[in-house]
Amino acid sequence: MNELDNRPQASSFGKICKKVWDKLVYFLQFVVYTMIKGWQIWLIMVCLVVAAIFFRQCRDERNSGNKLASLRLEKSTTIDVTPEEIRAIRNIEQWEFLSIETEEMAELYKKNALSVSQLSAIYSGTLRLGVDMAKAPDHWFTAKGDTAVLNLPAVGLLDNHFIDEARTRTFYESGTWTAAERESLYQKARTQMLKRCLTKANLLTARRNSTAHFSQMFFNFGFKFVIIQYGVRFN
Amino acid sequence: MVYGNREDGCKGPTGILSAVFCLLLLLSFLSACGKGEKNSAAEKASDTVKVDTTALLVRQISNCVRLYTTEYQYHKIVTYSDEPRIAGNLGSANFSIPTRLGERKIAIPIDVSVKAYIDFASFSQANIERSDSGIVIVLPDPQIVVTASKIDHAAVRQYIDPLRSRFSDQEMMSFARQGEDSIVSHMDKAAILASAQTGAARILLPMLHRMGYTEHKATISFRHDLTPESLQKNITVQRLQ
Repeated sequence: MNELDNRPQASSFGKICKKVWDKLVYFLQFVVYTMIKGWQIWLIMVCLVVAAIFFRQCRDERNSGNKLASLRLEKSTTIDVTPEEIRAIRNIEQWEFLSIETEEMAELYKKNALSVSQLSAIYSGTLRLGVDMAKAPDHWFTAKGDTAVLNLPAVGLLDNHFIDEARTRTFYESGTWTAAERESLYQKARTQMLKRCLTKANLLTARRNSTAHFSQMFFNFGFKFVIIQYGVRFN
Repeated sequence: MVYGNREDGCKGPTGILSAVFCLLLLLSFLSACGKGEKNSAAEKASDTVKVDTTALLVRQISNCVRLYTTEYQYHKIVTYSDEPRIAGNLGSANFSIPTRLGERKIAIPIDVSVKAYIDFASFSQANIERSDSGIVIVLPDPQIVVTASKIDHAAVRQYIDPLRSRFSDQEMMSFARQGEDSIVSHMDKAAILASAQTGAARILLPMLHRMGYTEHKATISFRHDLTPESLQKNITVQRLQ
């Protein structure tokens, strides 16, 4: 009796299990069939995986303080590596007694039929005033007992190239400019610097400093008197 | 029916790709917006920093006693190639692609004059040592200075793509400045200083001979403990700070 009573109970549970199992197998078959037949599902899944990886990366980037995505136009501002060449090595003998560091703003202006062009630049340079011993006679110094006699050339500008053009700052530029015009701008700045700095007063200051220095130097060598003549040129 | 399925299938992925593309664009836009905010904040911060340029405009006239003994003339053709690239990042992946459009090139020949000198400002009796064996003059360390630079404007060459503008004067000066800096950093400072020392001896020894000191009794000397570090300090480049 017990066996007969238990039989329907076990049978109904088994039926339910079988039904569930059949449904599951059917669903799995449907999924597998759909995945094999429908490639779109595969694509969607791949996209989801890629998107998940991408968002994970983005989250990490965001946490590290970087941008998620960026796009920019990039260009280098540094010059190429090229060799430097020594064009000349010269022995010189120049005594500098006054240094004038200056800057000059020069500008060019030209008017065409349709446009107006303007170029304004600030040049900087250092004028060095002193004595160039290359212009002095061979025996510029003679010792006569306790007196030193010096025949020095006139105090003047030591170097005609005194502008550091690479340090020029372009203040304003419009229009196009030729090489000759740029060169004329440089010459204009140079002339203005010479006019302002190569004055009689500055030359006199340099000469005074020269006299003081040469006198002191020869006193240090043991001479009691120093006679200096300027303007004596090499013949 | 088969064709109909294919059409449906084509629409699906296209739509998905469009959606992904739109998503990326949106992310880029949001990222750019974020940067803009940062930039504007940085600009506000930079606006508050005031730079006093008055000191730059002051002319300096100074008395000095310098004996220039050596001059070096350097020449360099400064070249620059402007090849724009599209760069960026997508997540952690960085990329940089040449645009192949709008190339510009320029060559600027520059000449730089460099001089070496002995500073006699502090020269005194302490620098002169007299003894029975003769006279020794101890000179200060030589110094190096860039005295001038010149751009050969007539020899400047530009090669510009029609899509691009010419190099401006400001750009040219920036390249020339870099060229001068390159010359200064690569010059053989030790050789120039040695040349300056020889030059000083060449100038001063004949003077001592005329004073009565024979060849063996007159010596020009320099500090012997010159190190590479002190050599580096000896280079002075005149420039606007």
